[in-house]
Amino acid sequence: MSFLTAIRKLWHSVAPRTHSDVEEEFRSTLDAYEEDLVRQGLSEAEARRKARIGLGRPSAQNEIYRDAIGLRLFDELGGDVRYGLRALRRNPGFAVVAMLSLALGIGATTAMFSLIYAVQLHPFPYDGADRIMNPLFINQQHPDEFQWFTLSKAECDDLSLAAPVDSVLGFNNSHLEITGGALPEDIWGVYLTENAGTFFGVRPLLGRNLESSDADNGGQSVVVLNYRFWQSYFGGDPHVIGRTLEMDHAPYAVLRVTDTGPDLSTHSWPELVKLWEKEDSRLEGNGHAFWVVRREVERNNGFVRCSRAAPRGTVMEIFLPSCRPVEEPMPRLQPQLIKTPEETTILVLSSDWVGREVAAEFLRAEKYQVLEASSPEEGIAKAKGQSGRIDLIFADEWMQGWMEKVVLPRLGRRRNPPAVLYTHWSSQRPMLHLARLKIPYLRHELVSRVREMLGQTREERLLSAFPLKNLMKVDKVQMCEEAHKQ
Amino acid sequence: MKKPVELPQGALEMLVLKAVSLGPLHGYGILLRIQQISGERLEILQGSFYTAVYRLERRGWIKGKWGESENNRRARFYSLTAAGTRQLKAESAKWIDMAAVVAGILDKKANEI
Repeated sequence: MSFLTAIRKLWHSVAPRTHSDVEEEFRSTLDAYEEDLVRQGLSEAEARRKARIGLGRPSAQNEIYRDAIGLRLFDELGGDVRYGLRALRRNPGFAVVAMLSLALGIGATTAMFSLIYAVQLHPFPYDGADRIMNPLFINQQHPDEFQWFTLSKAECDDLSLAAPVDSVLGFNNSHLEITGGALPEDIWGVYLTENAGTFFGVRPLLGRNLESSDADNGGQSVVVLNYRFWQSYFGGDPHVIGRTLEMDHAPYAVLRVTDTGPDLSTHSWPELVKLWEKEDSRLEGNGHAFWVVRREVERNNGFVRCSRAAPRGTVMEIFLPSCRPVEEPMPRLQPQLIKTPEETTILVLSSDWVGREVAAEFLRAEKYQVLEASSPEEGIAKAKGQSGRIDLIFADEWMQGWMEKVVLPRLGRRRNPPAVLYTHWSSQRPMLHLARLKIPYLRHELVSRVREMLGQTREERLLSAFPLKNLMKVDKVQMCEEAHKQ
Repeated sequence: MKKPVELPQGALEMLVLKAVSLGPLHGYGILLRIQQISGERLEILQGSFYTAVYRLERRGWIKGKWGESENNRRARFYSLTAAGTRQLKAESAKWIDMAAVVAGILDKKANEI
């Protein structure tokens, strides 16, 4: 039996000599001493007594041996165990009760502590979970109302340089809406800094973790799903990697501004973004304009991204996620809506030839294409003869009814009708008045009004291309600086 | 007969090693040998003797083997192992050094200090 042999071997290495071996050796020494004493002239009884006084009793020798080789504690424990076993054998009833209560006690305690361990002591399966801290501000007067430790990017970078800090994880809990499916679904999401993958040291089941490259150019739209969400939303589909999860009606609205000037080197992009930061939190006011813009963009869960334009120049993009469902399809705003004066055709429709000619002259001087007509019928005919579209109709105030009932329907442009500017003739002064404002206007006033209506002033164009109240509804707007050179 | 000497701790084990180093000896033989070398000045019979022997054997410095004694009795003979030889050499050097230093200090006369 190899198992028993192994045990015997082990035991032999702990206590190499047996009880009888030790005792026999001691007896031989004792006898030798006794004989020596007898030889010195003592009686046998006296010699035996003296030898025992000098060397000790043979029966105690084994204890001395085990004490010397360090087995005393073991022996005492063994004695206790033997005593316990004998006591249990004497009272079998007591033994059963004791064993049952021990078993129950151990079971219950194990279950309880497993629960406490799982729920309270070790709730996070993260690398070095005991080293992860989430600092809070606590007011001594109201210790139960704590405040999150919010940091700006610059403060966060500063903190990560502190010696006791290994790495800093930035996060922002956010309420999100899963869209793009049949029914929108509310979820809790967390925006994370790019070091989240290494910070938690959690290996993803599928795909990859967040990587530092995800932070390039202001951050990518990458999502890490937790197991529960993966199971409930995708049914544990293993092919989920690479699919798009639409959240809060993203794809984002993108405002892209391209310049064709000299290239900004990639090194200067961080410098550029620095302009978008508040220099010093102690300064008065809410920071410089760039910072305010960025804060607003980030408050809307958007982000700013720089990249190189082809063949040269820099592209700056502002991504803004839309927040609420689009109730009706918005007309897609095209860059060609914004035309140069040469590309713009204006129909001047007036029965008064003086007013007509004055207006036409003013507009031609601004390089607009001008058609003149004295009646609605003539205007329709001229407009139909024009291959391009009419962008603006300059009409007498009295023609308003005609315009809405006859001219515009016959021009057949229901979806994107031309703008109409009504004017009226002032009898007191030979000047045109803006119909609505009732103020006499000069050439520059007329021109600026026309520009405004055509969306050709810079502000107006930006506003019409990106109307503030519809900001979140715009699907995708691309504006190129070349498109509105003035 | 000179006055008996009390042994400091650890010295007994060294003496046993020294006694055994001259040739294999059984327990009583070691006792006699030590008494003989020390000029009858050491009284080591009391209990501690075998404790020292067991410890040395446990550490592998001496090795016990059953054999016949001079008067044809079965007795356990101890001999020095290689590790024991090294230990004895190191310990004696240390002991002699220490004794010389202590003795040197104690021997100084008042005007030499």
